[in-house]
Amino acid sequence: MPRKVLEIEQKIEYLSILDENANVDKELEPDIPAEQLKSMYKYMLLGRRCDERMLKMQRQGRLGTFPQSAGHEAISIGSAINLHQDDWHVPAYRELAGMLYRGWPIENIILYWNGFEEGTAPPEHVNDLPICVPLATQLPHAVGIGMAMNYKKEKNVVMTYFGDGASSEGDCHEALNFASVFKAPVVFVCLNNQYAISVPLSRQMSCETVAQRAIAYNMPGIRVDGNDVLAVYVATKEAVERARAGYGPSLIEGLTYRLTPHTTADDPKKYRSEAETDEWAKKEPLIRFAKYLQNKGVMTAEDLEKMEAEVDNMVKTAVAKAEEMAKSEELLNPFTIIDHVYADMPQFLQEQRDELAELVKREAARKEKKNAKSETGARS
Amino acid sequence: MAEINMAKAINLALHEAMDRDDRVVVMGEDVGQDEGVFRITEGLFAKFGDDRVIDTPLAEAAIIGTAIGMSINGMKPVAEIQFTGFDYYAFHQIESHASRFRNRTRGRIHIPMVMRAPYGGGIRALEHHSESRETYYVHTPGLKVVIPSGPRNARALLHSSIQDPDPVIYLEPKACYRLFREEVPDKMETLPIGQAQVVKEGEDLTLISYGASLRAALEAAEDMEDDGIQAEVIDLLTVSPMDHKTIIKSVMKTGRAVIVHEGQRNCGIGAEIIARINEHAFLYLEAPIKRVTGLDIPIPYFSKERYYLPDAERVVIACKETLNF
Amino acid sequence: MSEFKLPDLGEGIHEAEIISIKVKEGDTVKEDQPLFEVETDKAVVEIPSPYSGTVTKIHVEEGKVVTVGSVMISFDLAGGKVEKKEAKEDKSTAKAGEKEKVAAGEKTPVAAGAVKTATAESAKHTGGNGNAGRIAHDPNRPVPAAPAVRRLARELGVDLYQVEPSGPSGRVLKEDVKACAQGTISRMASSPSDAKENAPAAKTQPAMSLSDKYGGGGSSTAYDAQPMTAQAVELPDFGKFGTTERVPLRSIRRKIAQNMTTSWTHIPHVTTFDEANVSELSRVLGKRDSKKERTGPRLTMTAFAIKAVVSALQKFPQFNSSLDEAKGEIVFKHFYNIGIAVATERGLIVPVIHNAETKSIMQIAKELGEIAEKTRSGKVELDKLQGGTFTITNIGAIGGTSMVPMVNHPEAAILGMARANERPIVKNGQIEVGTILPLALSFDHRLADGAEAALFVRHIIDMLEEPLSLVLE
Repeated sequence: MPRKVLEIEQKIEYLSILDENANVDKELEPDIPAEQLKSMYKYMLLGRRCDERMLKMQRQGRLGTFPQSAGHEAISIGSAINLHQDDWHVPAYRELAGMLYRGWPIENIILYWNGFEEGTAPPEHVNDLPICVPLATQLPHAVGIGMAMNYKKEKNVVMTYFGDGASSEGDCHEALNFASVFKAPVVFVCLNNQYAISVPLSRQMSCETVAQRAIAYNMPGIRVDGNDVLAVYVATKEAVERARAGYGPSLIEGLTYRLTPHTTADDPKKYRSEAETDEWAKKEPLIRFAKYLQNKGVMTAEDLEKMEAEVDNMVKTAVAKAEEMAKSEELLNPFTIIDHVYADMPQFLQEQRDELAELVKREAARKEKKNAKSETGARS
Repeated sequence: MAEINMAKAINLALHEAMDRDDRVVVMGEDVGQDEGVFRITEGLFAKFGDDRVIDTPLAEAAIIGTAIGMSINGMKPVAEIQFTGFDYYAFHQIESHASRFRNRTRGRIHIPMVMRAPYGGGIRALEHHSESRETYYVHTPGLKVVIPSGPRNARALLHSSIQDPDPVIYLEPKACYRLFREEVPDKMETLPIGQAQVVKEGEDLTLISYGASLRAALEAAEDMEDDGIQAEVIDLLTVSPMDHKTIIKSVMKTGRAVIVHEGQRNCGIGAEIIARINEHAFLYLEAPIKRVTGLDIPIPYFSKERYYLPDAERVVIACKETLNF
Repeated sequence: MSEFKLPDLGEGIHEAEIISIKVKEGDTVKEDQPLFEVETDKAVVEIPSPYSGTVTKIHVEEGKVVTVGSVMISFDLAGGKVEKKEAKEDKSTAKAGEKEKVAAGEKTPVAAGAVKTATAESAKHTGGNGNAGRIAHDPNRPVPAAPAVRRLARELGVDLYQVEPSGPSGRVLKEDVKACAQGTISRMASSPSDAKENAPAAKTQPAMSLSDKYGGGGSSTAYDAQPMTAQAVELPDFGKFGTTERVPLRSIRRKIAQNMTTSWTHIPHVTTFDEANVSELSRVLGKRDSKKERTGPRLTMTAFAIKAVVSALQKFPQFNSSLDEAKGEIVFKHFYNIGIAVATERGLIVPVIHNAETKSIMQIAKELGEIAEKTRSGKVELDKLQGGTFTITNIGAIGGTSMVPMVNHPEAAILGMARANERPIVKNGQIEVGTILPLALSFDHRLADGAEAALFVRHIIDMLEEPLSLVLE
């Protein structure tokens, strides 16, 4: 019955490899093949340009409200790049770059934020879940997928994402606990951008890091510079390897900053100073990575420009395609809202489908009348 | 006082309530510095400080759970859930505790809290931001569910909700936040919870609605006037406990009813209204009661939201079917 | 020429015994007029005529058994309208047959309104209301009708199965119920044989069968042998003492029985008696009647009584009220609708003079004459039978020195008038001859007390004794 000290290891690593001035820690620098480095940059850039384009579209009334991703590209790509094609990617909603890297067509993302469920359907060839809006609710799913892997003796891993705000949700803690208890092959990646909409980290939690929560759940935890794609890469690579080898989950916290509002409906001036934003803007992940690639001789300035053009073109093409699709009969088909609710349509819903058919008929008739009217109007 | 919109009216009520009763605190995500994502808590943080305007960590269960605790210890928390799409996180606190404390302690402990949350569609919001699931709360004994429809009743009902000794779920039709302005009196006022209002009198049929759908009902009633049809329009204002007396009185007069709400039809508010009419005014019915409601599907993303939300045209068609029965 | 064959009157009925034949060859018959009374092994039913026309031949005899499908009667159709309305399958009677079980083996007469059943198609084509006789309700299912229509039917005592529907998909509408009720009133009040229109009905006693008189007669509603009250008193077996006849309590008689039961069981009655010296009024009325060229309506004691009652009601509103037992409230009515009990062949009907307070004596007298006649001949409109606030019953025409009337629930009081007779009266120690009208006021003691009632009657008497005051009212 003595009072004694329990020997619980309480150490949290912090990892930074490539600093904001593109200085590299040669000791820690990972050995990534040039092609992969280029690919990483391309998808970070694509994510960024896509995000910027969509913001413009939203302001033009061509897109609905959406949460922006700018600033989160290093965490998203640095982690996703470690996944095999048949591993699972379970995002929250700021992992645009990673989703594009995983094979989500840009037009799907645009369609999703433009109010089309079709955009949420994952492409056939990927083991990805779609964007998850209710915070932290995707984390138990990721753990469940991992538990099924254990049961099925699959040698795959699940990478799942959440923010600093979501780390306060019960679902997050429950998922971490389950993963730990069941040794699920899950890599939890926290995109700590220091604000849950307006609520700063200091109000979100009184501990210093999200990563240290790993201690309580008996799993490795590490905080990395979330704007340093190399650090993210190294930390998640280790976590993925551990998971694949059967050692269970890990928690990686990438410290970063949201360069944009929370969503297109948010005004960050109400809760963050411009000075702070400017300061963090200097630390954003793309510039330093581009410099690193140049310094390393992987890409020249010309290559980078070329890639810019290529990415711009990809975005432009996708936007045109998405807007074309939004006008297609397939996507405009109103019955899709009913047809996918159950595998087999229950009688009561079939009746509501018939009601909807009446409504659609009226809408069509009205349109026709309007067209006829404008035609006669044009003639006279 | 000048004409103000509903967002401003709710804000006004919060200011007034906090001024007159220091037990009232406002808590939730982004309610402080940010003044709420819909700016409902504007000016509160500056005026009352972070003691009484509490920006919480992002955890709905804890927001409601701690609000319950504060209520138990003599406070009157007004907890905001940012969107009803996220109140499910807190549902166990509402269902298992807020609604039950009075009963299980035989009145020794009660929970005089308010859960405020914007609900409903019509603002081109993203996924999980447009639901109308008031039925969940209506189905929970011990709760009161209040849904205002305009600036004046929103302010008055929020005061009544805050003053109520029991937990009130106060759902704000966000489509109406800035839809129109209305004169509100200088003097603070309340409206009894559990009382519906006849907002338009008529003889031919009774339109029953609440929240944002009331607009569709009123618009339809206006449209039908051109055809010489006088619809009586009832605004429920409180969906639980429901004021069926007002409904019954009207239906006994008109013999016909159409219910309009954007929440799903299956076991929705309309179903309960029909049951009450059936129980109290069956023999006065000239025609089956119709429901113009959301479909029994998850509310579609906004590109197809119009196929789901009731509008005046759907209401008029239902009314005419009822009248021509 | 058209023939009518015995239909299957129940589920799988093969034959029927002819109990009585109600028409003879050469008779002109109207649609729905009773033709036969037949007895199957399930029930005794009446068969009304499916046609209007002249009976050319009756093929059956009383007491004989005929099989389903046999020709019973031939007609020459009036107006060349050859419309076949033969009931092929009559499930309505089956319903009556089922209900008959309640009567436990009693020889039960069943009115055969339901025999009018036609196929669903013909019902679809009717569309009108006045064309009673093609009812297409499946007796095994509820009649399609909106709840409000059901309420109306209940209020008017109409059996929905008997209503010809004119709504979509065979739905009964309010108008259908009203038309049916109107038809019933017509049939109820008028004697099927030879009602003398102006004679007080109670005096004429044509050879009506008990069933005609109490069972609603005519082509009335299907009999449902429901007990009158929940706790009906069981009767001894009268059959031990002699022959009896059982007749269903139906339509108006049933309604009267129900109303009287309600009145007697719910209203604590008190009756106050008094007399009015109506010598002067009587003289005036007599004088007016004897004039050869009378202008305007016939003035009666009742017309004056109505006026006097309205005046009294305005002074004593409690007698124009109702007690809402459920809510514990008294409902005072700010209108004066005076019901007048009219005896008809099949029972008492109370038509109402609406808003009597707004009408002059002459107007009241005129309306009274019309309404009484219409009631006796069965042509009174439905709305004239509703909305009464006070009732006057006058047995003067028949006789009797006094009576205790029963309040017409849910009213508060009823005034009974007996015959005004010349009698010796003592006035200032002298005996004179005067005309005395005995009055009796029964009232709901919950709503008024004896003293008030006495004053109320006194007010009426004062008015009647000063007829001029009534004219000036």
